[in-house]
Amino acid sequence: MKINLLQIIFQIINFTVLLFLLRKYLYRPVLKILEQRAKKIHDGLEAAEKSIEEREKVEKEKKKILVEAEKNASQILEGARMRAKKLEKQMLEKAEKELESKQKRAERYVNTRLQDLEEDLKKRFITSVVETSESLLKDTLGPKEQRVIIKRQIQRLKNVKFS
Amino acid sequence: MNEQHLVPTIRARADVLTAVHLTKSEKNDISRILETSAGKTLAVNFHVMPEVIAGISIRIEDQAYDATLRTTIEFLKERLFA
Repeated sequence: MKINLLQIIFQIINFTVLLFLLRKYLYRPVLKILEQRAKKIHDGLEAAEKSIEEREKVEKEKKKILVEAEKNASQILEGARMRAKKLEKQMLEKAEKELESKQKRAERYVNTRLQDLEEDLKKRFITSVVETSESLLKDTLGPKEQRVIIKRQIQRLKNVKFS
Repeated sequence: MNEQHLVPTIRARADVLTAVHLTKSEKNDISRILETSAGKTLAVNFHVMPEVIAGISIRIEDQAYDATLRTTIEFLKERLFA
């Protein structure tokens, strides 16, 4: 086999030119694209990490808010319970007082009514006794008894002084 | 004798109230006692009112003496009501 030096030189020059051209117009842009992509991926990863961190932060904040909200709700609920209890107690006391007052009024009314009835009964009884006594006296006192009474009254008249 | 001494002068009026009619003797007794007690001559009027039940009630001018059973009962009634 015969080696053609010129051809070899030509081939070397040709390869060099090709290499130069490849380097200038293919390798660099591809490298640039790759670098850009790598950067994009890196940025994306960073963004994802940041996003995860943000999310975790948000989750933490959310939990904190929830805990605080629960705590607040619990406090509000407790306060409401206490107020309700207080109100219930006040209402009970008021109701008891009103009941007591009503009972006293009722007692006073009943006592007054009883006294009135007692008084009325007493009056009726006295009136009845007096009327019966009068009637009995009228029936019992005949002319004979009347004369006796008149005689006694005349005797008593002697002791009466008219000025 | 002076006639003026025989006719007594009427100075006051007396009203006597009873439940039954009085006999003449009773009327005279009452008139005499009243005149003695009042110390003056009286014109005594006798009234009968069965409502007084028994006893005598006398009024001489503004003075009264009430010993009727009706008044006694009324007094008793008032005391019982008090």
